[in-house]
Amino acid sequence: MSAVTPIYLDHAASTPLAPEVISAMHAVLSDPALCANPSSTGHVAGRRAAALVARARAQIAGVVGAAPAQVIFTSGATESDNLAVLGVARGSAWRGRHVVSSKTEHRAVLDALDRLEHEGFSVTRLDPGPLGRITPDALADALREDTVLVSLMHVNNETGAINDIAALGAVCRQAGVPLHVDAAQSVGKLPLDLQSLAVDLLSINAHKVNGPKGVGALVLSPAARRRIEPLLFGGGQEGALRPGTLATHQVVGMAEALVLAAQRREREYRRLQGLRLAFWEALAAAGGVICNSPLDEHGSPWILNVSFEGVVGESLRLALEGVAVSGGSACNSASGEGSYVLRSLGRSDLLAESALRFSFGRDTDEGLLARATVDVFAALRRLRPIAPAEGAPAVVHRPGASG
Amino acid sequence: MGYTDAVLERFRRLAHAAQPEDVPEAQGEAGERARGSCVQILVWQVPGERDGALARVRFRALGCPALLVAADLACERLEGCVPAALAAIEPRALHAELGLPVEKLGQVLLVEDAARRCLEVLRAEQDN
Repeated sequence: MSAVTPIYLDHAASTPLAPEVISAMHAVLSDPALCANPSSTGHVAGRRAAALVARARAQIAGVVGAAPAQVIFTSGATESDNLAVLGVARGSAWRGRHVVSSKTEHRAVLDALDRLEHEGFSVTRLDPGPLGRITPDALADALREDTVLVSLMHVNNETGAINDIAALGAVCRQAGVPLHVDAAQSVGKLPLDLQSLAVDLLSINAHKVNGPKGVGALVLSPAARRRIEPLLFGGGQEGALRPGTLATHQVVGMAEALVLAAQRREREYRRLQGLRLAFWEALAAAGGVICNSPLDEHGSPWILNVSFEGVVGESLRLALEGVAVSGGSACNSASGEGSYVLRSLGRSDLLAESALRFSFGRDTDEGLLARATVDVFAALRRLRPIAPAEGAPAVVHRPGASG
Repeated sequence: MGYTDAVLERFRRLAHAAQPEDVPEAQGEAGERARGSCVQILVWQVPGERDGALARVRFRALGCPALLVAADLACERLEGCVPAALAAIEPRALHAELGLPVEKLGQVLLVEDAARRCLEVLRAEQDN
């Protein structure tokens, strides 16, 4: 194990806790007076905890332009996605059994859709356009009389492609179909105002923006609230939609992280937009490098997905011992298949296999990216010569062999 | 993907990777480059003998770390052996020695296929 701290470029997977978040959570964890169950409002200790939860709920609601009562705490965006997709579909099954989504959603949505198909629902999975975005026209064409839910992500977790959820929401609202948006990669990073967006369900978390893992929320409109069924049973918490004792320190940490992210959003957007472009230009100098992320306003400045010809991403990632990055996908040795997201964008299996996702955060700066570039070049210099040349003959030379 | 220390250590060195300028006496290939998984085994014999020992064995590969380290270990084991050893690689033993994940066995089987083809090519060349 190397003693050197790796250059962390995997913020789309998770981020370090912000010092302010640690302080806020520590204040709750270290105060015995705040140990009570926030549902135990029959005594003063419980009411203190409940007040902290209420304040956090209001702060989170404020970040996304919702009312506090619309915020349902969960264990994270995966649970929020499951609750939205399974809960609304099941709760609306009497109206219809068709759901629309896309092929590039997070597994938390795709696997929930698979589950619905086992239950007899019909699912349309839209192909993204060349930029990785779902067009409003494609969505409109997919809607049917029996469609009960549309689920589309805001920012793709592999490529950073940004869906125009305002336009997609307008299509859904016109058709009277609720829209669920997985905003795990956009909350606190891009503008999200549910007062102006036709979004009925929003999955959010905190650990992508320097908040704690293990906590998230589903923000849902009153209309969606009437259509959704719970996945868990056993208590009346969160309006009986998500029973279970709330972790006061977690929701306080989540609120602190999202408020901080919202305050810094515009500055961070501009800063990372410049850094990402400069990093891409530096990587491109290696040659045989393909960008899989939109580099304009249709791409999140927090994510850069790159395919490197002549290497497989998993090997490149392992060779990059000093840089923490994600692969475009986990290598599937049985099928040789790369990222389903990149293949949906028309990338070959080879390019999908050769992708790395670099993702940035508050601590990412020019110096770190310059060091990462040096490491990437060194790894490419090491691995590319090992790869067989394309079309190499089976026998190259045999000394003394007669012709 | 969780790899063992043995894999990580071997991956750092890959001592049996061929150099770009290497020109072997024979080589065998397996896998599909287009799918991101192919391997070549390259051999040089002790000169002057049909069944002379494999003086040098190297690999080229495009693939995941499991493929690269399995090829590297196979080359290490084959050096000094008679050519027939190219057809006697035991993939499950290599897989177990490296402690590779079960889903990576297919990568080791590719190395076995490449070595077998290398022997076929070597024999064909010698018969010419």
